Amino acid sequence: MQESSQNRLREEAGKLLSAAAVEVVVGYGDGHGGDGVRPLFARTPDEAAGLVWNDACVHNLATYLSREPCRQILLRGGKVGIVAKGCDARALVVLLQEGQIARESVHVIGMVCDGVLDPGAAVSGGTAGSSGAVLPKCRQCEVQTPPLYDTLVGDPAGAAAAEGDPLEDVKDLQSMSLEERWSFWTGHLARCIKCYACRQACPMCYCATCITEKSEPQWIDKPSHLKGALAYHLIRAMHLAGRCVSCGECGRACPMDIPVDKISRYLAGQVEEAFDYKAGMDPEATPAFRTYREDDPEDFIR
Amino acid sequence: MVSKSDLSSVIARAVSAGYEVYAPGKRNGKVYLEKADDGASPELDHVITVNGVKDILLPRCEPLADFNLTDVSIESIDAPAAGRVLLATRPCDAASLVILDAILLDPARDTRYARMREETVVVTVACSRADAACFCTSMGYGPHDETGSDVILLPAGDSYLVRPLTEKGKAFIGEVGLEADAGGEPDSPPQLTRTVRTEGLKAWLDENFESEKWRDVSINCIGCGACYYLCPTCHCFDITDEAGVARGRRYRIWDCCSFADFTKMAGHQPRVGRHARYRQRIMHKFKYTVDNVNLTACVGDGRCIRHCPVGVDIGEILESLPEGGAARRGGPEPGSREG
Amino acid sequence: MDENLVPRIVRVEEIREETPDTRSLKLVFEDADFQKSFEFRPGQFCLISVFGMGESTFCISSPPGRKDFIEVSVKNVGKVTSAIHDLEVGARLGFRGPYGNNFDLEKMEGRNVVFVGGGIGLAPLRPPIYEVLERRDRYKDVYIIYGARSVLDVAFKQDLDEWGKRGDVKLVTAVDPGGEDESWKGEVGLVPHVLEKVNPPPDSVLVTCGPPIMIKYVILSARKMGFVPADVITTLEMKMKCGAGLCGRCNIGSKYVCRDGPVFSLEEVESLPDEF
Repeated sequence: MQESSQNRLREEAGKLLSAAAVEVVVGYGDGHGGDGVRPLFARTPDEAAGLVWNDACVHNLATYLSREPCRQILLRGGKVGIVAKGCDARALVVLLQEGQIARESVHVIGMVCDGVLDPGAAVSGGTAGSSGAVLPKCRQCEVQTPPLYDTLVGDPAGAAAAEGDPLEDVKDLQSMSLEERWSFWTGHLARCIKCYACRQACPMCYCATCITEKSEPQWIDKPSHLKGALAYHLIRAMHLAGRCVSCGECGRACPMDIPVDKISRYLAGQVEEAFDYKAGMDPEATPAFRTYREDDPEDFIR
Repeated sequence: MVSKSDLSSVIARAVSAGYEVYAPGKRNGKVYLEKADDGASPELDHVITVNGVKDILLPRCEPLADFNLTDVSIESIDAPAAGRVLLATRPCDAASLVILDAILLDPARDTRYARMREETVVVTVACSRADAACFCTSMGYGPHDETGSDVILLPAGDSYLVRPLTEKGKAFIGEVGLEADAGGEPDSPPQLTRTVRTEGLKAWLDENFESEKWRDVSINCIGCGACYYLCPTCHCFDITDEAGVARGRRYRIWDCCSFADFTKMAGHQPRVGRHARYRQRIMHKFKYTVDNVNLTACVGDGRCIRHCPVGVDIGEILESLPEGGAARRGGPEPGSREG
Repeated sequence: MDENLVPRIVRVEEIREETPDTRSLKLVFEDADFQKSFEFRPGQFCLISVFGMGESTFCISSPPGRKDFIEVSVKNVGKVTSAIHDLEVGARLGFRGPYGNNFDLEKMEGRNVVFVGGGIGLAPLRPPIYEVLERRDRYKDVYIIYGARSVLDVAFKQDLDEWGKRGDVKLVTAVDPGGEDESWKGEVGLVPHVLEKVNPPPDSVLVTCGPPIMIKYVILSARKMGFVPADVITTLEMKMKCGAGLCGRCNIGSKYVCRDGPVFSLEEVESLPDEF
């Protein structure tokens, strides 16, 4: 099934590029030496033939829309094609809602997806659905068919979500005592080197000048001591509340294996509980923190 | 000779001799170079630690001085004087210190780095295996290379042959009760699967600052600092103050030419765009350091390749730059506005 | 050189408001013995700390012959410089330096020297001007061409007066068109045009500092007039932190502005990549 999806994807991307309907298709290609996959920018039909689709396609490519070269193309009114799984398309929805992309300037090739493999976990073969080594976010996935697409590749009927609770690892944390949780996070964040891989991998972190880069005043301590790391991660979490689509890329990108995605995924769960809102599911919905309802919960305001 | 299991007693003896010992330890399934206490047993089965020896000698957050804002005085915080041992480092990491020395000790002398360097003994464990990212041999080093080490421990079955290489190394093995092995047959070094061809690279870099290829090779890069901060030879730093009302502290912290802030001045940004900043990385390592101190600032440890979240592969890039022909995929038209 | 990155304490002895956004500070080292022995060469720079805010780079703009103080001139453009603009006499700051290379005044002996400055760019020119005037007989004709945006923006009025009164200096001051008032007696015109009007001989050494755009057009004019690139000298500026060639930040190509500069000849500048 994945192979026919791959062929269909290549065909579709090739058609878009031949017709000059888009200037580039951002998708996945083979990693160096055929090892794994990595983002691929296809600018010609020939290059589109190198696009791949398999259960190693973990990257959220939406982050590239606010970076070069896509940013330049979009700024001057050009059009970009992008390959998106459901979680990636959720990010596209948020970018749309926040006015970062115009609907007509992005051609979304939505991929029906039944899960991508956890790059950190051992791979024992078989499809993602059966090995059980998918990323936690793929369990009970509600967006196997992306919530936004121009072209859909894959059969929605054929996809089966992995079993389990996508927030299981986060709930484990929640069940710890406050001291245990503090110890968990300070233990992990002691390794933070402030490389900002988490921020750069995140499609929602598109600020031209990040708050960490503001110097008058220096809101966030620059050093990577614990205080500086905590300040950065907590501020980022607050800036993502109501916007994070739980794609988990931040945690995957971290070179020091700090599970930073747990922070934002936890907050996303809190936003859902309090406001019955999940970011990026519905392009027509108004984001939770851009609206006010008279019956909004106030139990956390003391 | 010293058996693998005996290395923990080497640590214990070094600690009681007053050294701070840094050795590979496992954390969350990955191996990091970290402070080893008395009783610690070093990881020895890994290819390479996530972080390098740079963490210890050029710390990512180093206090320089405390200042008082009421009477405006400043008090230097000295670099730690205690001797330290970097135990079971890899040959590539030891070699990186020679490159850092060339940059940080002459002509200007970074006194903090110099002091820590003088008080540090580098005890390398030569490699028994390599992975797909290793390319030390292409950079002129190798799995059993001795550059930068004070002592090298060469694998021989379940033990290591002990070879001191410097006076410091000889003194150290005496202190921890080891004896030098004059003879003995070490295991063969592992074969690396990856080679990176660098012929023609320097000449190409000398002439092609403006090439469109820079946009092409940096296209996947998302602009984080992971490869820079994990790289054993990246040394760039920032100096920053943190202050309350009455007191404050000045730190030296890692900084990275990938960030826009690195060169941004009031009203002027000389390196506009991802490609310009990625170009600086390659140029600094493979041209500028060669021009200035006759060394390439890369030891082929492969950390940048292993940890890049988006598959930017420096070996692939270095080989593709001098290749004939235009950029593989045309970049945006020259002159387009960039941030 | 011993680089421990920790500054010495200096005290602000005097503040001179040059223009609405530029002030000069007269600084004296807390350590009186150090002050007496402190030396710098014209062209060198320093890093001044406002503790708690950070450090900024400034050229040392006092006459190198004066051993009792040093001077820096500060334009209000950012975090640290605006803090400096809030200081009063008696304030204590940090000082690191001197760093960098220097103007090669010996090489200029026996030749005409043309100093061309704009705005606060006169600050880095003051040390070489003072040194040249101190040994005036070693040089042929000395020109000082200085321009500011408007009458209000003319800096170092005291120096300009002194130099103007000397009989052995061709001093020409100018303001940009529109920047004059009824009392202005100098030229009206952009500095590159004034340079062309003054028309010094092209076999002179030309030394220029000022806003990047002014330098760009002064260099164009100088080339047009036939000046030799090796004899056109300027200073380059990049963001700096350590000042000593350690932190890897201020390079243009293989050259570190803090160590191989900030003084460069046009010949050297043209061999650098377009990254500044």
